[in-house]
Amino acid sequence: MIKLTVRVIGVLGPDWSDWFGGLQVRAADCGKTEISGQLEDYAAVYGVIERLRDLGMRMVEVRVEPLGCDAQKRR
Amino acid sequence: MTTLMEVKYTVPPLRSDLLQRPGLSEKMNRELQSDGRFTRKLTLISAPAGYGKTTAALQWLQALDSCTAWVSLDEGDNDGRVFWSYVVRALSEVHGGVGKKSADYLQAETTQLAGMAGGPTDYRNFLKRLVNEMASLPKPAILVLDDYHVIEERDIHDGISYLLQHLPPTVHVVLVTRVDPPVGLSRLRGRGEILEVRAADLRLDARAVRQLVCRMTGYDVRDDELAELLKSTRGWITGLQLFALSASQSDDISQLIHNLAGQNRYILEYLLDEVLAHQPPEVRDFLLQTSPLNRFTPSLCDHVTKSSRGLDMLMRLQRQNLFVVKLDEAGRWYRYHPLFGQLLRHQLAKERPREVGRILCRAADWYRQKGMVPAAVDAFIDAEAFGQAADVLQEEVEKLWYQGREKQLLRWFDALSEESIMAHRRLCIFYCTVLLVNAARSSEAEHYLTAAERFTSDNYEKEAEPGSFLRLTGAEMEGLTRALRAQLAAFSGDAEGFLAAADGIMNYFRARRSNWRPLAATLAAEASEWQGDVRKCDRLFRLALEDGRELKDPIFCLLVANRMAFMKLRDAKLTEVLQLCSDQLEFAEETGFAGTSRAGTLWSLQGEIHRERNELECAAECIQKGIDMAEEGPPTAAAWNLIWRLRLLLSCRRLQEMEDLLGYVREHMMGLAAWIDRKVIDLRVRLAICRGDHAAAERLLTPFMKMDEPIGPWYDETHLNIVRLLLAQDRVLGAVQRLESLEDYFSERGSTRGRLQATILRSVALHRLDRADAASVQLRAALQLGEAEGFVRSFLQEGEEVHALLLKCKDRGICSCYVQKLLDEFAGETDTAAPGDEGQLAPADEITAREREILRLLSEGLSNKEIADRLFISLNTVKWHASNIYSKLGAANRTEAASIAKRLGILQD
Repeated sequence: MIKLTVRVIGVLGPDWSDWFGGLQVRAADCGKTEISGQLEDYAAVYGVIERLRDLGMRMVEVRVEPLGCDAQKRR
Repeated sequence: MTTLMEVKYTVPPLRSDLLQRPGLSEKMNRELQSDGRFTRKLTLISAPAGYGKTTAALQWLQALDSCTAWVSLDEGDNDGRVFWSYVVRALSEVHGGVGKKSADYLQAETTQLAGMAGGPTDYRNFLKRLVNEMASLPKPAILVLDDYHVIEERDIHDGISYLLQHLPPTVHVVLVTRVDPPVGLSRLRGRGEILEVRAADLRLDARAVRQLVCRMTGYDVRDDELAELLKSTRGWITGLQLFALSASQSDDISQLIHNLAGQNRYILEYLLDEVLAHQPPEVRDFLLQTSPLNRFTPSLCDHVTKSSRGLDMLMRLQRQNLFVVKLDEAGRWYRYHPLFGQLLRHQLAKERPREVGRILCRAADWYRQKGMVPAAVDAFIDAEAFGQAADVLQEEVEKLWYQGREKQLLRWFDALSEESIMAHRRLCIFYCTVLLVNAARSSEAEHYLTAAERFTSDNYEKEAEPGSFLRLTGAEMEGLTRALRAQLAAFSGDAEGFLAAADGIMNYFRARRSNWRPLAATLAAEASEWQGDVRKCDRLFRLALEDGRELKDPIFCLLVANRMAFMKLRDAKLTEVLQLCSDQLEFAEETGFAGTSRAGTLWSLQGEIHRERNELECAAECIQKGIDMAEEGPPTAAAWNLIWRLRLLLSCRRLQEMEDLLGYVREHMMGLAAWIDRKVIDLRVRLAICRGDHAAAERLLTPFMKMDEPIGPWYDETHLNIVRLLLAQDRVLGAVQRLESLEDYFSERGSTRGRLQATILRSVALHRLDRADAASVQLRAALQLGEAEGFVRSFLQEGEEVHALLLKCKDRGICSCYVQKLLDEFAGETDTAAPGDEGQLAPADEITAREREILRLLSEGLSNKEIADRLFISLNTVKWHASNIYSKLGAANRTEAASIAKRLGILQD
């Protein structure tokens, strides 16, 4: 599993959660939105980024944290 | 009437009322062409969604005096065959006839018979043809690939990259994309062959924003408002258009600008809410209800909205600039601007979550009625109506597969629910098939094959024949299921499983010449080969070849010819192999496939025949030809060529080179197919025995020591090698014992070549045991087997003892002519080298007359090409000789070779 956190410019309502495959969508400070949650694998991470691309959203931060065995492999 | 297909390669019409952007066009024209030829190769329009990329391209092209070939891509085009066929179609729209040859080639190269029999498709040869055809365009053309970001397939990127490298100056490529594509951009940048139009170029400046707002609303924006607008939209054209749209329905534009600047929501969502809020309910409904459709016609809109105002609505939306894009001049197909469409869909899902599925299902019904099966499947899958999707898919699954849409099929199968697939035997069969061709996923095939086998096959004898040769009858389904089982067994080296499944397979295909029969015939032929029924095998291969020709499938014919040639080689029919190869190469020439890797393997196979007949120079030339042709083909073809080359190196006693090449093959080509791995082990054993490294040979052979185990045709050599090792270790009795049972083994399995070699080895073994009479009986039998087809190497390779036995034969006047020929060849052989004595002879002894000639020309400073011309031989032959010379002299290059030759006095006669 992988934990993904993306911050984008512009405020999106929580109803966008479906669009991002069920990830949590919440307002962050300074007119930004944080989209975060756990994803199955890297393919899913790229999927989210592609959806952001299709909306023409501007990313300001992307954090990817492998959990469980992915994290161990990294070590 | 425009079909959905045609929309894909039609240049979309351009609205006349759009904002003109002269600066942009000017930039794109810069250094584009001179004297009617393009001076740069690529224009890359790369920016996020909604930046007006497509419009910018269209406006630029409209003012340009070049023909435009246009392809609008979508996700379904992630398949080389589909993708390139659109490119060819678009080009032929520009100039009739262009791309015809490449298209024919693509069609034949990617038919599924060929695909199934020979692994992945090779697009390079197609692209070479396409480049040639492009070069002959009478007028320069611009090829636009719109929405290129949907392409993920590595093959396609590689193809575009190759195309850009070899692009003739008659064609210019434009890629319109949301992401920078991996097509070698840095190389193009380095050479100044690319112009990039990026977000910064596409952003509207103050003047353009003012113009846009003024045109759409009649409002003249104040300077401070303009600054605010620019800040909140960042010159993003879709945002500005949405803004202008809501402004056109508002009384207080100033307030609107202020509100926009003051809010921090995702700008597009905010603006869309604004726009939708101002629409009358019927327009709003229409927009939402049609939003799930990727492309639509008025009639499709009517079908999903259950009304008849589709056409009026679309006109109205167009008039109001509501992001409806006309896809063809005739105004039959439309789509929403992608970004706008996506937002509408999101809105619909939010407001009426259940309706999305219903709309998609209605659309799917419409597609189905219109015979648009792929679109119907897509829509049902999107609606998660898997049962219905499977029902539609199974109607045309054979056709889609045969057209080479296997990647699309795989995507659909993966998306469908397990249950819906399991309900249809056809779907199980083809899921299994596409998994099998997909090397990375072949392990999943078993599951669906088992499912296909579970269907009962009663009553199919009475069933009516389907309308087309493509649609499987019940009997053919049964047969195909067995064929798949046989293939699966062959892949995993399970000989018994293969035979059990392939046995009687032709019975299911007897009724008619369907598209599946040649495939079945090939498998059945292989099964008969394994069973040693050479005549049956021959007959089946011929049937497959005939059907393949009838179905106009040259690649399939080449593949069958390759397999058939193997069978005949094993049956010691050397002349027939040469005949078969030349017939098929002629057919390949006629159909434009002479230069392909599969034709190349027929060349190298001829090389193997020449090697057997000890025509080594000719063999080298043929094999090199095969190797050159396989450069861009599938790795299995390349592997076969190298195997023949390895055998040739062994015959020439160039053991170090053989070892190096073996190393390369082991590193790059193992695991491609069981029979290739087998051959490589055989060659390693031969090398080890040759070098006297018996321990290594024994290690490699240990797993195969048991006689009854391996029964595939490619184990002949292994059995012979065991005997060779025993003889080398002087375990002569063991060798004799083995040879006795091998006699039957080869006879039963129809391997005349194996029998010949076993007989020669037997005479050697008996000779060692001082049983002179028995030895000469065996040798005489071998001479009888080998004479008609001119076998030489099989005798020479077993060394001095065979030579001694031949001398005895000569004394007794047996087979005098053939024996004399063999003795002469032996004499030529001992002139050059003796087995196992690698590197111990003085180099001058090894250099042949021909090599000396070439060495002389080399040291005079002639190039390989000049030498080839001087001696009337091919360039490859010169290279071959040169590399021989280097290795014999231990030289790294021609200069070194010349100086060593001088030192050793080789060049003085």
